[in-house]
Amino acid sequence: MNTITTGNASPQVLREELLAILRCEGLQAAAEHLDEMAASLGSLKSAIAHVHAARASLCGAKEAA
Amino acid sequence: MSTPWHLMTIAQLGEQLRAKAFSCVDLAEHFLRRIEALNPRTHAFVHVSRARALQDAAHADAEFEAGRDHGPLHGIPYALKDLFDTQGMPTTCHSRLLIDNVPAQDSRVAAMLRARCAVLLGKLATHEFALGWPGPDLPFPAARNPWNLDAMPGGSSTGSGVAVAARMVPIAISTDTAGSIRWPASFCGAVGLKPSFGRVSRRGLFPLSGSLDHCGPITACVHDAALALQAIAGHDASDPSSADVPVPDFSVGLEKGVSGLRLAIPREFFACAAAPQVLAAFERAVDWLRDGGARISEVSLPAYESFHACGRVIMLAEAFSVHRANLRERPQLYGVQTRNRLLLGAAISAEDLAAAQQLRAALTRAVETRLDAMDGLVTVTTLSAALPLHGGHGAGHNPVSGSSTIQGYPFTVTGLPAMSVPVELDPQGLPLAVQVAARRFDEATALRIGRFLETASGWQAVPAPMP
Repeated sequence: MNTITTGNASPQVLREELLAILRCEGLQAAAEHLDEMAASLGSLKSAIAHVHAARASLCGAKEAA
Repeated sequence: MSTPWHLMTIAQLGEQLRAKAFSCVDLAEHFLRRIEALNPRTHAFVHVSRARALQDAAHADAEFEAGRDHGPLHGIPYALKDLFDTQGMPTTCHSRLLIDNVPAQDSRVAAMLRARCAVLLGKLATHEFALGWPGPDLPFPAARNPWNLDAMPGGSSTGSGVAVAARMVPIAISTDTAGSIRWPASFCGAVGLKPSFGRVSRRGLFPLSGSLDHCGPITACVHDAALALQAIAGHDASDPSSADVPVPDFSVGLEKGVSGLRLAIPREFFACAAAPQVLAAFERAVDWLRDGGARISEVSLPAYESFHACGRVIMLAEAFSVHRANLRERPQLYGVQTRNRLLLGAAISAEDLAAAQQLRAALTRAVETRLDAMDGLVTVTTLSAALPLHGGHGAGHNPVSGSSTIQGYPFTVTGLPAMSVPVELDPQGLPLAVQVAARRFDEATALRIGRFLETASGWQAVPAPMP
């Protein structure tokens, strides 16, 4: 479960989370421009949060569970 | 004065070939010369295969001589986005990672076009693996919009939109995961048709996102799009996503107009976000449709952001799964923008992906329910005309940050057919387009509406950008 913070987390928190995810995957050497990537992670997390909320709204609690 | 060959439609070229006004080899030579003249400025092609083109063309001539006519694309030049496998010809995905990749077999699409005696001219530029962004660390330069070389051509099928708009090739076969056929078609003033999911086989296509990728044509006009789709549509038992459904004649109803068609406008998708000139062009198109006898109504669909978020999560998760091993072992061979975009997929959990797939099913049901009582949807293709090429990687479309000018995801998430049709030039001389969607496997109705708009707008009278 990688989704720990929300898209509203601070840049520093997002950057640390990003590094943790990449380390876990053995991918830390592949990353460059970490500040830019952390901002993108924040945006992606907002999208993920939207997906969960929209799924609950459109599918209903039973189907979404 | 006779029309130059590169400005003729496929049907016109076919008539001339059958009347022996010129040969398939003559036609291939004409387009090869045009590529040679324009590619240094447009960078649409990343690989031109003169030998293969002339071989295909000579074979097409021989088949005509032998009395064997293989249909409307017989002898017609085409090119492929450089994600499709081509036997004996490089398939690089615009990446250093695959710079030496020469497939042993044709993709299904290439094989079908070969069987129809179409003539392959070469491979077209793309964003790296259909996801990246132009940059100095890629093996080929960025394609340039022929209407303004400093404007973005749209993507990811950059070279496809440019090559067709600049009349370097009559047909580009391309891919669309989040709008990658329709966006360059819109920015470059071409027709871009994303068929229904399952209509065209993806065997031999390098995947971006297996459950969202579609194949389809970019052409100079709607009738050409119908002919191109006809040649590549059909069930392929070796592609699990291929649909075993009948393939109609896509050209039959093209000239029937729109009288009596019930068309819905999901205005909430774009009304607050589109540029004024895009909205004005859209409203003119709606007036033409209404005047043509279509019954227009407003429709409320689930929020646009839900389609976008859903598609983005699925696409990034699936793309990461494709590239995970190479990101670990050979990350330096990716362009940095591509690499950083792909890496974000590691942040998507199985739970997130499952939620996105459930949401996708719900969104699809919602749209198809609305379409039960309608013949089609009409919306804008992009929220603006072509943006500056050097506006930064966030300009226009960034599937990671989510900023986007292309209204692409609603019809790849749902798998419904959608087409971009150019309708006019904005005051800066850049194309503006309208998007038409239809019910599943009803590409014929999308084409019919598109043909009406093409005629009503007078787009075919607009001079080509590089005549």
